[in-house]
Amino acid sequence: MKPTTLHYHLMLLPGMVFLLLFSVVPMFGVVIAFEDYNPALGIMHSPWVGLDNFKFMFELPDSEQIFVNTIVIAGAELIALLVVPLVFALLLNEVRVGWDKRSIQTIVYLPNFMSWVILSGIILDIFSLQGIVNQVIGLLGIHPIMFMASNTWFRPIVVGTDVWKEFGFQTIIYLAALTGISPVLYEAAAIDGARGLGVLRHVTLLGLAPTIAPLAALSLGNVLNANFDQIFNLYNPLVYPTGDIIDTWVYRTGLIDQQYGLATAVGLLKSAVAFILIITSYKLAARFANYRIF
Amino acid sequence: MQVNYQQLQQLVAADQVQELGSTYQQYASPYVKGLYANNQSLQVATFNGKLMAIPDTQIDYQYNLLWVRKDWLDKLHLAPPKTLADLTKVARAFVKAKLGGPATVGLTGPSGTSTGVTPGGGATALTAPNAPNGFDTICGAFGAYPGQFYTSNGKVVYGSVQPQMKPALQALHNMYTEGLIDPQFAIRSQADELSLVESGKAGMLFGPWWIPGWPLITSFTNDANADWQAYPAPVDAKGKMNVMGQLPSGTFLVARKGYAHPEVAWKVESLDNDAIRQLDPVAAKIYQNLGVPWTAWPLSIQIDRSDAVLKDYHDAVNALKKCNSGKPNTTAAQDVAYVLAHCQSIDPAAEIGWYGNIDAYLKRKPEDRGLDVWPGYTDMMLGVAAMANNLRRIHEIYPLNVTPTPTMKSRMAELNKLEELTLVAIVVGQQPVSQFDSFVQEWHSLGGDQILKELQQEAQS
Repeated sequence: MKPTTLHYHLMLLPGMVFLLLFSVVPMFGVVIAFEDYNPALGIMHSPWVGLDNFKFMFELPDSEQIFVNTIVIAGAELIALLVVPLVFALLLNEVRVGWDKRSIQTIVYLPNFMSWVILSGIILDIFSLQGIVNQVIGLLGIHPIMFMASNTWFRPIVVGTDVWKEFGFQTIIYLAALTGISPVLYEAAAIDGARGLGVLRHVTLLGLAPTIAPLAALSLGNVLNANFDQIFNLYNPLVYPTGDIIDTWVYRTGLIDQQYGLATAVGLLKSAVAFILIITSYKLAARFANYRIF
Repeated sequence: MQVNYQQLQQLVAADQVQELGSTYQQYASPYVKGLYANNQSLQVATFNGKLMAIPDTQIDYQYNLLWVRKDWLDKLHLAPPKTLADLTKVARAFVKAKLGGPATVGLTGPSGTSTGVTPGGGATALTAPNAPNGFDTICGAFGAYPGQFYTSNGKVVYGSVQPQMKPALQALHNMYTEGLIDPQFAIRSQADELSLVESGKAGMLFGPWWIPGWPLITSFTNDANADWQAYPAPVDAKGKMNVMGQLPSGTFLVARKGYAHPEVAWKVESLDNDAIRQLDPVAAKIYQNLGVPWTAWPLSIQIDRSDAVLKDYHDAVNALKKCNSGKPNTTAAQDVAYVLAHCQSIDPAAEIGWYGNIDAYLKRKPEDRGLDVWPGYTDMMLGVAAMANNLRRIHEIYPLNVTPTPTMKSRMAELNKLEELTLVAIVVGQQPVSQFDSFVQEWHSLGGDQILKELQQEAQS
């Protein structure tokens, strides 16, 4: 090994240790999913129940509800977080004045840094009965709506606020990629008579494809994650039917009700599905956009 | 280390804890033994005849009282409420007169977002008993005890599915639709809900005797006219207030099996108690002036008489009659010092801090009664007094000491979620009150029946 590469390996070392300690070692804990876990007996001595926890999980009337909620909310966020940053980046790219572009980039990126604990306080207040939204619709003569308790509004609010918070990050990536498209291609397109939408289709989007594909593929693996942080801070019992996701259910069942085995089983199933999705998306990205890691 | 009852059972079943009964007689101080003689905590920690832990005492008389802003009542010339109809009338008047501003709240509600569910128990956010803002005493006025497993006529029942809950939910729903209860109680956190009280927007709330310490003190800070009074209300048709009491113990101090010196636990507990109650001058000096609260002392768990709160009240009232420094405008600490030095007739084991507070409060002019003495006075002389002077009005029952049965372990989370969702939705109006009947059926068929059977077997064994 040359001395120069040793530096790189050493730099990676803390990260690898962290990964090992917090992601690989805890994997042994999945054994809890197959046991009737008793904290006093520990992982090694709790009675083995095999697939009972999984069987039970499918019998619960709620299983369907939480899976549906998770997929719907995460799916909506996934699509929105693909489309919105892309459109925004394309629009922002047309802006000619330099300082405007950069300051707008910074402004849309800022919410990314706020934690959901803070944001949820703000959101709950904005949508409360005395909040701004209800005041505005009151001016239009509409009766105040308790948005955060409504099963019709909860999902849109969750998806909307998540997009508002996160789209800045992806926008910056797309903007950077857009600058990477050679102006020669634009000139060639202009010569060939392409205009507006034509340019968009044949030059811009094609040029962005190598950026869009991996981002989309990687977020597909995240689809079952639906953002515990956000939902936990925003939900309440009235919106359980549309807002209770796998992670919040696991939290209540596992930690509050101390049904560790069942909760771990659900978490394990979720990870297994996510694993399949990541492999699939990776293969798709490799095939259609030539994106490979290995 | 300290564990709850469910954990204690798991540890005893796994044979991981040291037996402590053999060292009890020899090493526990007479004072500690006297405390245990007054309550049933030792029985709870005894398994197969052996004492396996040092149990704490969950002091009784923690049920919710109705706290009302007397200054608002006076402004509207209303009498303090006694029945649910009175309560509704008062709330209506408060909201109509907008005494707390345009968004006046008559009565606050329990937070829908609190996740303090008792492990293995049935209580959900709406039904957790004796929590600030809770509706459990309103349900009690109909004879219902939601969220609790208890025995009725020898049978184990679950409060939330009893038929008495239906009229209770109807009443709550009516109050809600009329706008008397905070419309957003379900989506607010407990702190947010209590901020309504603190900022002077709410006129009534339910809470135990100690809420003047928090959050009422903030209300008093913001508005010196906030005159909070406690009433044992609402009463049912027979004039009785139905409440759920405390289990004798909830926290247990356990020692690892094979621990070499189990008597150390008893020695430390005895020392802790001697020091806190100022029984032993040497012990009392250990943490003196170091600002360490007793909850942070080593191995500290709360051991006391189960009626400690009432006893303190009576002690305080007696002491006030017998012992008074006569000097106006003293601090609570000065009063305590005076009492310790001059009043030997006062029961030395009593909580002297209370006299100090109350005495100082009473001696000062109304405008000088500041934050250092107001909570102590209000806690005891208004909160506890409402209970102590109305014992005949109170009808208290006790919950079952529930250890999670196998079906509870697998089904309770599900049932809790269903209960929480349905009860809150009915009160708020998202589901009709008739939905209660289908909820009861579903609760029974989803595993509730099985749970009740198992608890019945356990209770009879």
